[in-house]
Amino acid sequence: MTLTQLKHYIQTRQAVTLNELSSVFACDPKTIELMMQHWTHTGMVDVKLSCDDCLGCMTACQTYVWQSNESLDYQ
Amino acid sequence: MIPKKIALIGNPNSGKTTLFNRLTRMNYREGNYSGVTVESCFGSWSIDHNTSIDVVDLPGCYSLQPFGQDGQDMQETIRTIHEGNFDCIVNVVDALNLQRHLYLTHQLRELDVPMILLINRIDLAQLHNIDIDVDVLSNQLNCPVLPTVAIDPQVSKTLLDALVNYKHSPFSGYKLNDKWQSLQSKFMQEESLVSQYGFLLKLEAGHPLKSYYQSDSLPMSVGIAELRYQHIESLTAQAVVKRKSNTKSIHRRIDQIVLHDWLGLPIFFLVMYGLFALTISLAGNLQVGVDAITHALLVDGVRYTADWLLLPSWWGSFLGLGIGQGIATTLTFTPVLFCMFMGLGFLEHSGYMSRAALLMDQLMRKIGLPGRSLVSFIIGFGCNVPAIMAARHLDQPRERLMTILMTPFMSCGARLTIYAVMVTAFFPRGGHNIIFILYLIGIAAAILTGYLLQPSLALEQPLPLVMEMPDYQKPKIRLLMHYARRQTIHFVRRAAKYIIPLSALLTLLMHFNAHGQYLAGNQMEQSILASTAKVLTVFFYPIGIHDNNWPATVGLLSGLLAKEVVVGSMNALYGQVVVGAEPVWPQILHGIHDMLHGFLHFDLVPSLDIVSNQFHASAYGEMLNAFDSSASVFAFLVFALLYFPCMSTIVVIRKELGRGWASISLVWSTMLAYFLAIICYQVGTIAEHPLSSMMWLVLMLLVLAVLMKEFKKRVKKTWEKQQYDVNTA
Repeated sequence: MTLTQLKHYIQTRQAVTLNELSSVFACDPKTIELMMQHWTHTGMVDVKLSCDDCLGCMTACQTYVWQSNESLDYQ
Repeated sequence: MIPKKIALIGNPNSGKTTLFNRLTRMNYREGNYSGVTVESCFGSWSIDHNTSIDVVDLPGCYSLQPFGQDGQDMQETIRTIHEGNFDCIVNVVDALNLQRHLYLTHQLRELDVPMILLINRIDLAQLHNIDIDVDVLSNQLNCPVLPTVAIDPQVSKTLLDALVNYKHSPFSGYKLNDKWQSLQSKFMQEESLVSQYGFLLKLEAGHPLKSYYQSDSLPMSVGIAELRYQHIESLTAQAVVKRKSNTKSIHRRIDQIVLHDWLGLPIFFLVMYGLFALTISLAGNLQVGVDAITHALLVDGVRYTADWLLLPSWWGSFLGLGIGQGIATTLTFTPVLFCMFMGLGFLEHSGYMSRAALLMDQLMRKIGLPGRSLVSFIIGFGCNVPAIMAARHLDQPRERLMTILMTPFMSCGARLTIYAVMVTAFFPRGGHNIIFILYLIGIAAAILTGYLLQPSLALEQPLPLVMEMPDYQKPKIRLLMHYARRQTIHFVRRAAKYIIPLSALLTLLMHFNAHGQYLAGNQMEQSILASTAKVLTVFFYPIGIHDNNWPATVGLLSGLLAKEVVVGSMNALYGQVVVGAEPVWPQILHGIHDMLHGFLHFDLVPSLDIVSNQFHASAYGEMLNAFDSSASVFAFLVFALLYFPCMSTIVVIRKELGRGWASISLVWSTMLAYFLAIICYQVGTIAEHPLSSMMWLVLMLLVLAVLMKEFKKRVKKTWEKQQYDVNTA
C-alpha cells in the first residue's frame, strides 16, 4: 500500500471511511490514518465525521473526502 | 567498541520503556497503550564494574517531520534526535505492525547515524503466523536487525553483542527516478554532502532547494513520503510472510462483543465492578492478618519493650503509638493496593484497557474531549501526578487544559487506602458497592468539569479516537506480580515518607498541652492538637463530623500533604485512646486464625463482618464510635475523594499550566467536594430531620449553581487573558 494507491481509491469514490480503507487495504486503521495525514495536510483530502453527532459506533468512522479539482489519473 | 550513550526511539507503544527498564533495572511506568512515556527518561546500563552505557528512553513518535499536530512529548523526541548527541540509536519496532513502524526507521536511516533495529514482540508475531526474514531487512536497511522480546532477560545480552560488533554502513535503499536524481545531485553539490539521503529530510524541513521540485501530480512532501512508502512496500513484501491464522479472527470476535455499540459500556462497568468486588474480598481477608500482626509487633510490642526497659511513659507512646503505628498503618493497606494493582495490571496486559479507552471515547467526545485524554485518566487511577504529565501528548492547548483540570477527580490509589479502611470498618457488607460508587462519583465530577469547561474554551468536536489495538493476550502471572509489587512498593515508600513522621508528630502534639505537660487517657482532650482541631471541626458539622470526631478533621487537613496520610493520621489519633498494650502473641494468632477463616469461607461477594469485628479491637473501634452514622462516613469519603488534590498534584498543575489554573483547580475541587458532601449527608439523614435537611439541600443546590457559574466565568477570563498574553508575546 502506497500513498498513491490510497489517493486513487479515494479519488474514484470521492468519500471513503477509514474503516473501508482499512478493510480494502488489509491494514490497521492507525497505519492508514498516519498515511492519510500526508494527504489531508496538502488540503487535497478533507477529513469529516460521518454524521453530525457521531456517537453511534465504536470504530474509526471518520470519512476522507476528496477535495481537489485534479482529474482522475488512470495510469 | 562499546558506545557511551544510546537512545531508544520508536513509535508509541513499541516497547521502549520495557526495554529501558530491562537494561537499566529502573522502574519507569510501562503501558499497553501509546502515550505513557511523555518525557525523556535517563538511566545507566551497567555492563561490568567499570563500564556502563547511558541510555535515553525518548517519548514515542511516528515521524521526524510531523504535521504540527503532535504533542509536546513527540516534539521533544524530534528535537533530541535532530540534535544527535548519541553514539548509537536503537530503533524499537513492533513485529506485529512492522509496516507502520518502518516509516520512522527509514527516516532514521536517512540521518545516516549508527543504528540498530530491534524488532520487539517477535514471539507474538510467531503466534500470529507472521514470519519475518531478518536477513532481508538487515540487507535492505544496511543495519543490524535483532528479533527480540523486550521483557526477555536475554535482550540485554543480545543488544550488547550487537553494539560491540557494530559496523556502520550507509543506507542506500530507494530507487530514485530521474526527477529525484537530478534534485539530489543539485542538493549534494550545493551542500557538499557525502550522505546520499539526508537531503530528503532537509527538503521536508523546508530547504530553499525545494523550489526546484517539479511534479505532475504529487506535492513535494507527499512525493518524499511516497518514496519511503514504496520502499517499505517492497521491503515488507520480501521480508514479511503472513500465513493464515485463527488468532486474528478470535480477537475480532471478542472485539465484536466487548466493543459492541450497546453492550460495550455495560460490559466495561461490569468488569470494573468485578474487579472491586474481588479486590475487596481478597484484600479484606489479608488485611485482617496484616493488621493484627503489625499492630501486635509494632505498636504493642514496642510499648511492652519500652515499659520493660523502664523508659518514661511518653517514650513508649512516641515509639509505639507514633512511629510503630505509622509503620503499621502503612503496611496495613498494602494488601488492598497489591490486589488492586494486580487487577488493573491484568486488564492492561490482557489488552482490555485499550478497548476500555475506545469505549469511553464516545462519551468523551460528547463533552468535546479527544479519546487521547483517556490515557491520562487511566494513569490517574494509579496516581494523578504522572497522569497530568501524560496530557503532554495532546497537541491542542485547550484539550490539554481540560484534561489536566479533569484528571484530579480520578480516584487515585492513595484515596483507595482511605476507602479500604473506612469501608471495611463501616460497611462490612457490600463495601465494594460503596467503593464502586465513589469511583463513579469521581468520574462524574470530572465529566461535570469538562462539561462546564467546554463552552468557556470553545472546543471543537474532536475526531473519533483511532487507537492502536494491542492483541488480546494471556497475562503472565510473573509479570503481573512484578507490576503489582513495583507499584505497591512505590506507593508504600511514598506513603511511609509522610505517614511515619506525621504520625510521630501528631502523637507528640496529642500527648502534650500548651504548657508542655505530658497527658494520658482522657486528659488528651486538652492537648494542643485536640484544642485546635475542635475549633476547625465546626466547618465539617454540615457533613456530620462533630466535636468528638476531631481526629477526622486532622486526617483531612493532613491529606492536603498527600492523600495517603489521611488514614495514617486518623489511625494514629484514634489509636491513642486505646489505653495499655495488649499481649502480643495472642493478637498475632488471632489475626492469623481470622485470616485463614476468611479464606476458607471465601465468597466473591464480600462480607467483611470478621474484618469489622477484628477492627473493633483496635483504633478502628474508636473510629466506629466517632462517626455518628453511615451517612456521615459516606459524606466524609465523598469529601476525601474530591477535595484539594494532594500537594504534588497541585505543584504539577502549576508547572504544566501556571499558578492561575492551579488555583482554579484547587478552589473548584474543594468547593465542589464540600457542597456535594453536605448534599450526601443531608440526603442520608433526611428521615431524622426532614425540615432542616430539605433546607440544607435547597441551599446547597443554589450554592452549587452559583459555584458552577463562577467557575465558568473564571475559566473564561483566565483563558482569554492567557490567549492575550500569548498573542502579545
